[in-house]
Amino acid sequence: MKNLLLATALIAVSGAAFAQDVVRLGTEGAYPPFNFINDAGEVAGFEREVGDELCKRASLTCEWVTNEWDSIIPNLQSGNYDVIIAGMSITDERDEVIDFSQNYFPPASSAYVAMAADADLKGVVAAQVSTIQAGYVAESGATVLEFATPDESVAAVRNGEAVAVFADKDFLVPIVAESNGELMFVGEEVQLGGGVGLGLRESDTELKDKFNAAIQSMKDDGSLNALIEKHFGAEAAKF
Amino acid sequence: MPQAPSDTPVIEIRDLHKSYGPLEVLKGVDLVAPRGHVVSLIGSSGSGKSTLLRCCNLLEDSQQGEIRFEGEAVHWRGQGLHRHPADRAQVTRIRTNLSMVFQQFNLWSHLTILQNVMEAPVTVLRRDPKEVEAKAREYLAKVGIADKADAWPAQLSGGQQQRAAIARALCMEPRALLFDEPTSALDPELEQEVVRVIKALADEGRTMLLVTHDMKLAADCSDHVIFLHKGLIEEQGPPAQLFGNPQSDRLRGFLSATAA
Amino acid sequence: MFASCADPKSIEGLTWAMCYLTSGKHLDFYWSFLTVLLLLALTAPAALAMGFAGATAARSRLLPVSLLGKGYAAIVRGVPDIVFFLFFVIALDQGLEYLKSLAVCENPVWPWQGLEFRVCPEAKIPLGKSSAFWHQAYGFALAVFTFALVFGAFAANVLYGAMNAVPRAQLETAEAYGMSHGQVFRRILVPQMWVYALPGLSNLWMILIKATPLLFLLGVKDIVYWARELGGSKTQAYEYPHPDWRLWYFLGLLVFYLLFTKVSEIVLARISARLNHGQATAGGEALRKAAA
Repeated sequence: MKNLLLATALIAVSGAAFAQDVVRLGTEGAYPPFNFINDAGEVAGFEREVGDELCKRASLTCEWVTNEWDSIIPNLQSGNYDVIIAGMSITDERDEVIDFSQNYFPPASSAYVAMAADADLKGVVAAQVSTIQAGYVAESGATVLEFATPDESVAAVRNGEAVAVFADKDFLVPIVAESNGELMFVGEEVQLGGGVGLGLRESDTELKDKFNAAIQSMKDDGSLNALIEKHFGAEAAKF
Repeated sequence: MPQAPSDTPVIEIRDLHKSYGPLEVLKGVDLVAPRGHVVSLIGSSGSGKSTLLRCCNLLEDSQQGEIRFEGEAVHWRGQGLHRHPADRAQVTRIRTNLSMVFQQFNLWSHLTILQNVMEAPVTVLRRDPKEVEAKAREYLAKVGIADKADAWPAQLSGGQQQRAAIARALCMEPRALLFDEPTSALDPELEQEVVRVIKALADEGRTMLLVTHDMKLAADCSDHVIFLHKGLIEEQGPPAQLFGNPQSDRLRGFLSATAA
Repeated sequence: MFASCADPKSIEGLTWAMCYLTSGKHLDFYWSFLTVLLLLALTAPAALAMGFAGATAARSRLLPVSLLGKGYAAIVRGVPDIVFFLFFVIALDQGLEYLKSLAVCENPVWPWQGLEFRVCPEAKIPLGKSSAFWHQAYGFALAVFTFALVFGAFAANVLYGAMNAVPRAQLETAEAYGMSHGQVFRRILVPQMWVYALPGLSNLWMILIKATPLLFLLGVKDIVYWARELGGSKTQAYEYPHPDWRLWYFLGLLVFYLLFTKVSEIVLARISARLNHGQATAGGEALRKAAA
């Protein structure tokens, strides 16, 4: 035990000498395939791969942190991590409080999923709290039922609390596909937001520039599209 | 502490006044408790007899008048309703030398009987616990409840509890014992076991101040009886005189009322 | 965990269940039970200490100290828990880092710039480059402190009431035997107040047990977080896809909480029986009757 502590202390000290630029990446870990906690208990998914690649290209040492969606912006502002990489759509409202990198995922379709084709989309619709979709549902005239996690918003449809769930289509596709016909897409797809970008503190312009350059290079050499295809299927929108 | 000369009273009170707000309960009372004497305070409820007793060991503040313990006057600071004892050490010295026995026994409920008896000598007087324990067991035997040493207060009858409380008072080895209606809370059949203990203590020549409603007890063991009425001493004297030949109408009325 | 678990999608039945239940995530889940127990083991005495300090302060004859004690109990109890756990913790964290920045930064500046909080990297707690372990340990320490502060306020209220419930005669008797205020407090008041405080403290303990899911708000993953995370339906993106199993996980938690409360009740009942020895309460009266 003592040796272990000593070793930890040594790593901490040596870390101080070499890795000045540890960038902490904050994610939710509950939004597959963007990000989730895999069965080994580690952050995984599309954003894990993108994030690791971006850090490599920008020569940054990165570390993954999970944080609840609800407080993900305040904790960024408070400096508990440096980047939000959590499937966060670029919106004007968020842009007022934090900065976004250029998008690393194109403006994606949001869609309704329900148990029946004739579901009333002006009725009770489930969405994850503080998401672009929740805002859209509220404006559509339907009653929004908000949940802390995206998974719970889908469960709400299954157990009848809501007639439909409105979320990123890419998140819903595998769920519908594996539901044995229980769940289906209904209504029209909607294009929301300016795509998904990294959230950064407004004062961190240098870090933002580094990430923007890295994202651009991944767009240019096609590696970003390859990752999108790997995680979201061949039909997903690409750059 | 050096023994005061034997003719110095243990307690001496002059012209004591005590008020609760606007209500004056003691209106100038004198009291002398000479060494080895038993002084009883009688009177109807509200006469101020319990308050006077509680003033002796400074549980109650008084507004005017002098209290002496073995010739040593209590130091005061402030005036009137703001008059308080000035010297903590003196207060402690007086209280540890005037051990009180309460009407409701007031044994500390979280301690066993033995611990109750040992508590103050060990905590306040800082005596050696081993010696105190030996003494405590002696006193418990003396009041006849040696077998209850390890019992909890709530497991004892009222008479046993009061005898334990007396053992607690004795274990302080005080200059005087103050009894505040020691038998009032007891059923008649339990009263006698406590009365016997008090009489035995009086026979030993202990200095005692006894507030009681039990005229027979007062008559049997007192050297001097004081009859208080509405905060003033109405009449006092040896028990034979006070009970045998009361002078004032009020005392006569009081005695006939209590006899009935 | 096991070699046979290398390719979970090709196995089924018992082997699958074995592999599933021993996945890294499940091990984290099992560890989180220890986290919760450790939190309780640290928080309960800390909250009791804060409550004791608060109640003692509230009884002080010095007005500022008394106001401090009463204010602590009143204010903290009045603030909704969720607000406390969201904002207080961030404020506490920032406050600590600000203090540290004054000591370690070369030219410390006022860190609250608009919506952001900026201190120099050396003032972060723990340092940005520290291992994940220290980040978690720090989060856990903040959690213990916050829980202790919140529950301490409730405990202060309970203990204050309990101190006032000790019969005046018991204290007066101690004074009559020459005890100082400190001696009366230590020797009589404190030992006797527990019997009055125990019902309230037992309640607090039960509430504390159930409040541990608030841990997640503080970034510490507790059993409820993991149950929700593990139980949620899993698509093929995961190694062990399965439908919504949250019911089963929460049933598991239910059993855990029930067992834990049951054990707590048994222990508390024993303590209560001990305290009732000789106390002039209903419990003491029952004891006396049983002996007679």
